[in-house]
Amino acid sequence: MAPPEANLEEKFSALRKGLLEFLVLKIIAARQVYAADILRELGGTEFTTQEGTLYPLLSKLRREQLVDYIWQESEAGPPRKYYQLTARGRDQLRETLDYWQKITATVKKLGETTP
Amino acid sequence: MNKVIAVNLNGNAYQLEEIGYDRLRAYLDSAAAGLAGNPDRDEILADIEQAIAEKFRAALGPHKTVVATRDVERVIAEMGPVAGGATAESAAGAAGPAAGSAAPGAGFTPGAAPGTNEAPRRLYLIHEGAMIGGVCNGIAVYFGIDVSIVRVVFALAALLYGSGILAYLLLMFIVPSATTPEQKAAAQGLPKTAQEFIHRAKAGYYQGMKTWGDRRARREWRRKFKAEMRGLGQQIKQDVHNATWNCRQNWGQWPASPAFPGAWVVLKALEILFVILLLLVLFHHGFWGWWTWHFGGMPWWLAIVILVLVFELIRLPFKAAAFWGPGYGRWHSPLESLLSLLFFAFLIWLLNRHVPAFHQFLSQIPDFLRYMADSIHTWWVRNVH
Repeated sequence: MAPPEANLEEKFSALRKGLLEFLVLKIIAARQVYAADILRELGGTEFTTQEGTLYPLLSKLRREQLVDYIWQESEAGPPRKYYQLTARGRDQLRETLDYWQKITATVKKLGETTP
Repeated sequence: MNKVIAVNLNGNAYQLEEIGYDRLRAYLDSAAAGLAGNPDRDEILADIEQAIAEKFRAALGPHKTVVATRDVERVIAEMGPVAGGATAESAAGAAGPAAGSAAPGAGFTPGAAPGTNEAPRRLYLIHEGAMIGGVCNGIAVYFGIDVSIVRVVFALAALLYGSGILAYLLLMFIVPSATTPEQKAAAQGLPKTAQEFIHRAKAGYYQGMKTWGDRRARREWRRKFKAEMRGLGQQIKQDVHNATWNCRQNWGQWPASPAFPGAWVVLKALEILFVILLLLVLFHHGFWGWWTWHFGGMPWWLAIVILVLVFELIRLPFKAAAFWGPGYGRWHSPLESLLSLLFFAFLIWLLNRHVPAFHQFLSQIPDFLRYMADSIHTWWVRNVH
């Protein structure tokens, strides 16, 4: 790993931490997924996550009634928890997406207008 | 050869190598500690166990039935540290391996001993393999020492105005018996998988009773119960398999080992003779006359020491002959046999003291032996000379 990139990773760890919840909601919004699907989608990106982090997060989202799960039989092994967004989760995701767009717009805009 | 331990991961039974088991236990303990205060702690732990179980299943094949330690270590590394307790809630959602290391104390330390989280140990009477009431057995299990040592301590205490007997009787009435599997597991203080199964089944049962009105919760409970039962079935099958295998390993070739089959009988005869001689020295302070006649001034305790030494010396070649072969030292050490002899002696002493018929029988032995010696002597004189 190149040193400058590692530096950035360190600097933005808090930012990624905060964004992870939002990204998990976004993944679940696309389709019904179970935990391993979420990890697979996050894997390889800057947001690579492990089970030890994801499971507490999912339980927290469920407690806040943003997501819900149903049990589904799997072709191999015991049934799995498949997650989906609740109405409240969808609202939250929409609000967050709007807010994120505002932030990126600000990031883009700042500095350009200065004379 | 490695010891294998069976574990139950959210209703899935797996066999792990001992070191791997310790690692996994430490990981799950640290996960439970990391989730302290989280209202969904049990559910998250169940999810994590399920995820580990799925990874283990992927690591096993048709010819690989035991999860190797390196597999356990790999899976634990993949899982990552678990943090999400009441205090760490806002920090939950750490992304990437770099962020994981930024949360000190919440992470999993490899090889950390789970000593603090061991199941509490309780004192019980254990009747399996007990000699009288299971008191010594229970104490031995409680302290994790050999039962013969406890028996000897009690025997010695009994010599002090019978205080050992009194203590034994008191404990027999005060200490409860370990009858249910749960109590037996608690007596050992080990996090037995069986104990976990029972605990979970019960917890699930109560949970099911509480939420019976809710249809979804009821279905959930039934699913969990089925998973547990499936795991228990696998567990029992595996235990039976392990037990037969161990039995074959340990005892399969045992009867073939004595190089000299008669040595076993001679040894037992010697042991009994030794006990009788010991008792005679103890309670009659001499062997029917000729001891005092030859060694009049010798203190009785010195006689016992000499007796033990002579006995060991005589026994040595027979012992070597009887137990020639590997594994002898494992289950029949000299100390162990001596301790069992002492216990035997204590029993005879008790009988001698409290059962008149036995006392009479014992006191007749010297006369009988003398009579035998006399008749052998006369036979010798008459026929050989």
